[in-house]
Amino acid sequence: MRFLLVSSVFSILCSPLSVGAHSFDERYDLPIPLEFFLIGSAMILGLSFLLILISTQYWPYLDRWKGQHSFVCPKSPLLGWLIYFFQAMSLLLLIVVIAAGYFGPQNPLMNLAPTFIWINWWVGFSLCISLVGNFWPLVNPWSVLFDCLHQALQYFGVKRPFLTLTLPDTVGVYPATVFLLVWGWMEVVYPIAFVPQKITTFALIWTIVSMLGMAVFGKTVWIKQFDFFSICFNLLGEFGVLGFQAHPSRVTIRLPGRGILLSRDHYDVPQGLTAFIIAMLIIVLFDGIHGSGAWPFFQEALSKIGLDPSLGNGYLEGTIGLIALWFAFFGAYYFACWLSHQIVSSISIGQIIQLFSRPLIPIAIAYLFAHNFSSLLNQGQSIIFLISDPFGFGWNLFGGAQYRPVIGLIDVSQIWYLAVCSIILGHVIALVLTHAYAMRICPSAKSATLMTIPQTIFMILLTMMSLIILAEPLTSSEFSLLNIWISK
Amino acid sequence: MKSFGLDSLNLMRLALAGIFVLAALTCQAAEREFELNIQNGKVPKGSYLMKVQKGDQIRWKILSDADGELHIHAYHVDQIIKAQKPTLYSFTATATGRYRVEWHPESGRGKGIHHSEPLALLEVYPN
Repeated sequence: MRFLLVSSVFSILCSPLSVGAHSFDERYDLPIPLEFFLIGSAMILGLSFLLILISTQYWPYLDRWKGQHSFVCPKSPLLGWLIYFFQAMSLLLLIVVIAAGYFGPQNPLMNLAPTFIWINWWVGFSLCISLVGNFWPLVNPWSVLFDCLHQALQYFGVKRPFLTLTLPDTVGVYPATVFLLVWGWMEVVYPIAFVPQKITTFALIWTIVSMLGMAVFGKTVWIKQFDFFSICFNLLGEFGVLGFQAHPSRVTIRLPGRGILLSRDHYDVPQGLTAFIIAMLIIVLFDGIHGSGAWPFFQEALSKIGLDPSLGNGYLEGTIGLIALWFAFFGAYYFACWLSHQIVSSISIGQIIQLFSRPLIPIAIAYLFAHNFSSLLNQGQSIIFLISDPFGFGWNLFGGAQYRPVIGLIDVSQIWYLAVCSIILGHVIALVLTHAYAMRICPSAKSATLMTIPQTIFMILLTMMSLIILAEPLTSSEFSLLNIWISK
Repeated sequence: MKSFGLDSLNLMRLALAGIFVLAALTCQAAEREFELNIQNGKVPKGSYLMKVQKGDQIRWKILSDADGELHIHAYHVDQIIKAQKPTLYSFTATATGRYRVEWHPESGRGKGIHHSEPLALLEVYPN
C-alpha cells in the first residue's frame, strides 16, 4: 500500500507533460534604463557613505527612539468570530486549490492552483506581509487543520493522540532551510512546477508532512523549526508596519523595519537562522540571475569542468547554480563578519554572524518588490476569473468569470521608478538597522561604525547586484530617460 | 550687460520651445511595420527584437513555411497562419513592457508545454 502511494506520487511528479500551454510566469518588465541604473548606484554609494559619516553622531540615540505605538485590542466575541471566519476561509481555500489542481483544467493559465500558489500567495502574500506585518499565524491553514484534527480526536475520546519528540538545539532551523531551498528550486529551476497536478501534489504532500510533523514534534516546534513558510513570513513580517501580539491582544503601529529592531529573539537566535536568511536572499536573486546574461558564463564554466549543462533537462545546472549561489553568499557574508571581528575582536564571530543577518531582510524585500511587483499586478488579476470558476465547470460564483487581465494598469516607467526607489530604500533601512545592532554590542559609537564597514560593503555589493539584474543588459536605450522627460 | 542677459534668456526660451515642439512631433504615434518571415519556427535575427513606443500602430507582414498560430498572450493577439500565405496583422501598442511573440506550429499541437525561446520579442517603451 505504501509502495503504491509512493509510486503514484512519484509518477505524477515525473510523468511526461500532457497539457498544452506556454510559459506560465511571463514577465512583461523592460530592463531599467542605464540612467536609472547610474542614478540608483550613485545614490546607494552616496547614502552609504553619508550614513557612515553621521553614524557616530546619531546612531547612539537610535535605539532609544521609540518609533512605534501600541494599542490593546478589547476582548470582543465579534473579533473572535472574525478570526474563526478567516481561518475557515483559509482552510476552505487550501482544499479548493488542491481540488482545482487535480480536477480543474490542466492549462496552467486557466487553473486556480498555479496562479494562486505562485503569484497571489507566494509573491503577493509575501509582499503584503512585508508591508503590513505578519498575520499568517492567524490564518495558517495547516495550523487550523491540525487543531481541527486534534479536537476531533479528543472528541472521539483519544486523550493523548500524539507523542512529542524533543529535538537537540543544534537542529535549529536547518530543516526549514533545506525545505526553503527545495521550494526555491521548484520555483526557479523545476520548470514544470506550474503544472496544476504537480504543484498541488506538492501542496498535498506538504499538508500530510505538516500534520505528521506537528504530531511528532509538537505544533510549536514544527512551526518554529520546520515550517519554512511560517519562518519566512515571520521574518518578512518583522519589517511590516503592524505588529500583532496574541496574549494580551495588542497591535503595534511602527515604522518599516522597526520591528526587526524590536524583535525579541535577536539575542537568542535559533541555530541556522543566518543560513535561512541567506537562502531567502538568494532565492529571490537567483530568479533574476537564472535569466540574465551571466547564466551562459556559468554554463560555460560547468562545461569546462566536464559537466554537461543540458544534463537532466537543465535541472542539473540550475540545482548546482542555486546551491553554489547559497555557498557563495554565505562565504561572502562570513568573510564580512570575519573582517568585523578583526576590527572589534572583543565580539565573537559567531555573535556577529547571528546579529547582522536580520538586517539583510529589507534588501530581500526590496528586491522581491522590484522584481515581482509588475508580475503580481498583471498576472495576479487572473485570480478574479479563476476563483469564480475554480474547477472550469462554467460556474460564475463571484461574477468575475468573464474577466481577463488588463496589462496596462501601470506604465513601465512607473515600475522603473518603484523598482529603483524600493531598492535604495531597502538598502538604507538595512544599513541603519546594521548600525543600530552594532551599537548594542560595541563598547563605543566609533567602534560600532568601524565594525559595520565590512557589512556596508557587503550590502552595497548585494544591492548593486539587485540593480544590475534589473538593468541587465546594461545598455542605453534609444528611448532614454531624457527623451521621456522632454516629451512630457 | 542687461540686454545681453535678456537676449540669452530669450534664446534659451526659443531653444526650449524648439525642443518641446521637436519632442511633441517625434512622440506622435507612428505606424511601424515589421516583416516576420518564419522559417523552421524562427525569424531572421534582424526581426527578433521589435522596439516601438506606446500608442504606435504595429503592422506585421507574416510569411511562414508551415501552418501555425502566432500570438502574444498578454495582448490577446492570436492569429492563425497558413503556410506560404502572406498575412497582414495590425494592432496598437497600448501597454508598455516586453512581450514574447509565441509561435506554435500546427505540427506541434498537443505535444506538450513549450519552453523554447519565443519567436520574437516586442518591446513597447513609454512615451
